[in-house]
Amino acid sequence: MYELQEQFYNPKDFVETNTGNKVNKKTILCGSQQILLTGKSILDQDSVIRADLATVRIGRNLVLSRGAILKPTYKPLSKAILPSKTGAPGLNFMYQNMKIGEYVFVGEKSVIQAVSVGNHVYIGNNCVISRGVIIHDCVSIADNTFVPPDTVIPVFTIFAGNIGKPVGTLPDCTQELMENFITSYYAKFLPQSSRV
Amino acid sequence: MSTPSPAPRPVAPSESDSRSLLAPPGVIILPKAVVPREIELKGEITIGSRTVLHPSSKILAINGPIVIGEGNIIEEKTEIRNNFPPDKDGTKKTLYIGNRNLFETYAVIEGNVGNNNTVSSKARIGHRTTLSTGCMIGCMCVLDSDETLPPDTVITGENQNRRIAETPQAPPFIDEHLEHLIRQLPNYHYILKSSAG
Repeated sequence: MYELQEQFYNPKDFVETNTGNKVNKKTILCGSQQILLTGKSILDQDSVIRADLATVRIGRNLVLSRGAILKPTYKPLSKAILPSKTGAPGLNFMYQNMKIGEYVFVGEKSVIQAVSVGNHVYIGNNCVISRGVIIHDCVSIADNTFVPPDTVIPVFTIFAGNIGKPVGTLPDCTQELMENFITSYYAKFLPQSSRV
Repeated sequence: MSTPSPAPRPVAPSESDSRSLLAPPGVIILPKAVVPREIELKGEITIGSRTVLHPSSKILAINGPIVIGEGNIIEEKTEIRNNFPPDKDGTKKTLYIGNRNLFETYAVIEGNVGNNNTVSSKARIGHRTTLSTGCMIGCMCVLDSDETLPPDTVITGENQNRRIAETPQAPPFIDEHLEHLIRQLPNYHYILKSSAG
């Protein structure tokens, strides 16, 4: 794999946490008490995480590029649940919790409403992952793909197109490739002060 | 990982912030509308009751006023723009949006919209196109033709294939969705107060 170029950011724009998360100050994090960032993640400018609707769990080494949106999915229920304290009747509708695995890359302006995204997943720029989608481990989704609602994408699949279809398979070494890619992306994402 | 129940942990807005929660000048928010503080409002806008706006959406009344009806859901990063060119005598046209529409993430709306329409993510409605009733515009579809779409038109796919649905269409589960959002969003966001005028 070719080497990535170094990217420099203004240290004033980013907050770095103890676990190595680099979070831009212009990200919109709703319901931040329900976001679980494990560590070494990069959340770039204008990205959105809507954890006010349901809990969002994120594994290590997530890259969320500019304008990417993580949003929990919703579904109707056959029976009303959660009668609220105010005495209002419960709704047969809920937002589901969202789970994102390790070593996931999300490209610019992609919208993700999946139920779960596995480990070592590459999602390109400008994709739309509709609600109810399950993405398993080691999946690559090409740029400008629209994944229709309630699709299940199996392991080692390349998905592309509008409307999205499987177009190929990934090699067995995808796990190592994605780990190398995300680790080097994180290592080359540097503050401007380190520019020589 | 264990999955604890999604117990809402509400953050009550403090009283000291109430001053900044008034609608900006020129914006009329009718009662029961949910308009968070983090959205961009510009120009003369009327937002009907039970309409829910998600944070980071934009409503830009540049070339004239915008009137939004009841029970619409406007998701993140959606832009509703009044880009109508003014008439020859200089009067500004108003952009009307009906009731019970669902505009998904990154949609761009510049034309008039009727009732019960769904505009999916990254779709774009140009200023010459009008949606009538029950239309469903698929992901990444761009419409800029000078026409009024017939009721229950479904446009999907790369080639923007059109068909007319056999049954009347509405956004999926919109009534339950609205009710859920109207209850949930004020727990987590500062909501702009409704104004009578």
